[in-house]
Amino acid sequence: MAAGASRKLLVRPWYRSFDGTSATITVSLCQSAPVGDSVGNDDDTAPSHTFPGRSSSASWTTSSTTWGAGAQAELDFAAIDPDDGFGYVVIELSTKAETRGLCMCQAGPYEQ
Amino acid sequence: MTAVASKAYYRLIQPNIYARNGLVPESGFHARYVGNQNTVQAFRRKCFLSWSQWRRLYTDSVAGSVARLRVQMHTGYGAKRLRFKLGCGRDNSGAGLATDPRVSILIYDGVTSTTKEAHLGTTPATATGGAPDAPNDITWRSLSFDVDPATTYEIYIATVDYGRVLCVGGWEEASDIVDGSVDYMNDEVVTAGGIIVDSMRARTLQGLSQLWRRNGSHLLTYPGRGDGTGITTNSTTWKNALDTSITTVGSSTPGFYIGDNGAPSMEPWTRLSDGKVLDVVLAVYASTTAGSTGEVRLQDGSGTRCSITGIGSAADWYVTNTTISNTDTLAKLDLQARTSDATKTLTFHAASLYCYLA
Repeated sequence: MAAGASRKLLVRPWYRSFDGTSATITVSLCQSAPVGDSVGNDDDTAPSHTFPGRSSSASWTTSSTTWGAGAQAELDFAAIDPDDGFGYVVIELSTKAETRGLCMCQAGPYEQ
Repeated sequence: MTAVASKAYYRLIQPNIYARNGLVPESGFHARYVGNQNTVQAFRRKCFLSWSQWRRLYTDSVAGSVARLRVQMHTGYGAKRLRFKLGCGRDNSGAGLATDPRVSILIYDGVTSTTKEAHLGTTPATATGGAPDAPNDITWRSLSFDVDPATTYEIYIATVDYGRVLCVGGWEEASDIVDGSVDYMNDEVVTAGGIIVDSMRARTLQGLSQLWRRNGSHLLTYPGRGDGTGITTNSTTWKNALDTSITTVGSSTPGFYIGDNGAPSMEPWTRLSDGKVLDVVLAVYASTTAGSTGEVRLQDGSGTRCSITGIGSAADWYVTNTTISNTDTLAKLDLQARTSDATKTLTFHAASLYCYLA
């Protein structure tokens, strides 16, 4: 992109808490795939994975057990490799969160 | 020297400088809009598949070939390749049986089919009953296919010999070579003070028209459950195709946002002359028991946005060229399905929705 231009990825997760306690979902746009040898732990300790390189994230929290869409958030395309335009979208869940994926994932317009 | 489209976003076209009444188009204006059009052709391409398995299916690894995902899409002018990025898991059958786990992708343009396989080269997971699917257990593979522009493709993704696909993205790619004789690229030949001849204007305008018709967005893909089975219903009333216990559209029913009451709005996808009506193709992979017909529609809180009828007994793609009205008020869209006979079964596998005007 030209200097001063930006572009955002518009995302909304489809998620809920499965037992009525606080649940968090995080969606990240990453330059590289995550690395690590664990997907997390049942006691809700931090997952042992990392994102090499740049990333842009947004989080949503709910205690509702009803399925629903999180508010629209914007992830910055500056996080991904500008040369090949390729990146990864990674969804992380806290122990109490449940998801069926993203109900919105759209590249927004260029903005200057 | 071969000219290459600029990957950087080109320059803004200021209406006060170039497009006020009485202003005569000149070479600077022509250079800007031609450059912009070339950049769009080279780099702003369709993404037609973004899928991930949202739950860990420990019985996922199976012998033989299992069709997992299906997509239909239309390549825009200038498309050269379809590229797929696959995130694949290890054999999690618990039996350690895989010898050559792989993922197979077949594309079909209505005449010729092409198949390629990504060999995962992974060893079976040692954990009984399931692989951990931690980031380090995921094998990333890419596959690409040469394709023709302005062509409709059916895409089938299967796993073979205990292969597992956890997520997949698919998009089209184009050449960045500026060749003014193909793909509605435009030679950037006008210099300051140069003449804009009729053929230049004609080609640019013809290109804009054709790009409008065939290079519009791929709007929605539901490629299937991922386990090879379809969703079934015997209901003659509409059921949510992703969860057939649901009959209505609500904020908690599973669906898709391609617009959200103007934030974002789909209205810019339409021409001013079309009055907020968008030309689209709705394609559904489904079948019904012989003697009945099936229907699938996209429904939001204000009503039916588009639908397809006449789904028959052959498991196949059923396609309709249709329209979506009032694109500025689109809300969450639910896929709904029904059959014409409660003693018969509709089996729904996949759906695609994309902009298209013949």
